[in-house]
Amino acid sequence: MSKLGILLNSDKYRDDVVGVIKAAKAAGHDVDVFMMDDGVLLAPDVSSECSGEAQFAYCDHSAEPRGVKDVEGATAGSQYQNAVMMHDADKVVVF
Amino acid sequence: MSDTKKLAVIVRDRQGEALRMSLGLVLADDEVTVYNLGAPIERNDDNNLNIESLEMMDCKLFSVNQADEGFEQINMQQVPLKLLEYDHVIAY
Repeated sequence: MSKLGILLNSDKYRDDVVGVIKAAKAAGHDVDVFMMDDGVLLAPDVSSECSGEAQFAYCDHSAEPRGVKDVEGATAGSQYQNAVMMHDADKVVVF
Repeated sequence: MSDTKKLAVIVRDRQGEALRMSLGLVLADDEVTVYNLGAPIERNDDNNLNIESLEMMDCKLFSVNQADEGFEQINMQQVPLKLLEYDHVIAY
């Protein structure tokens, strides 16, 4: 089983992100998603729609000024979660 | 963690966040290289601190802009050849 990492730093590609997560999971891959910058704006929506299909974390430093907090199904963290995702992933996609 | 990975970050228009993320990526003991392919890095307190910290962490800094102090100069023709060295290339 391979691990796909998804760095989400924009809120422009919501449907693409959901599609890739679902397709990767259906193909038997693990998926990690880290959201930062404007990407955190999609955290509630994407983590809800793809619940159980990926591990979600977001940068609290980006989330706080954008009014995003306490996202169900996602871990509020720091750039450490991003570093670990990059380290563990076999491939990374940036949206 | 084991098996150090080589990560390249390409800086474009969101310089501050790209540099902040680059510095964060060293937290997993991976090898991080920054390529600025956009405008010269804006010098402000946050960017200066991040660049200084990246240098302290032995991260390599490349730029296509001569104005970027502390960055090794590179031209756009060399960039794709360098990028072949990396496990992940993160455009920001």
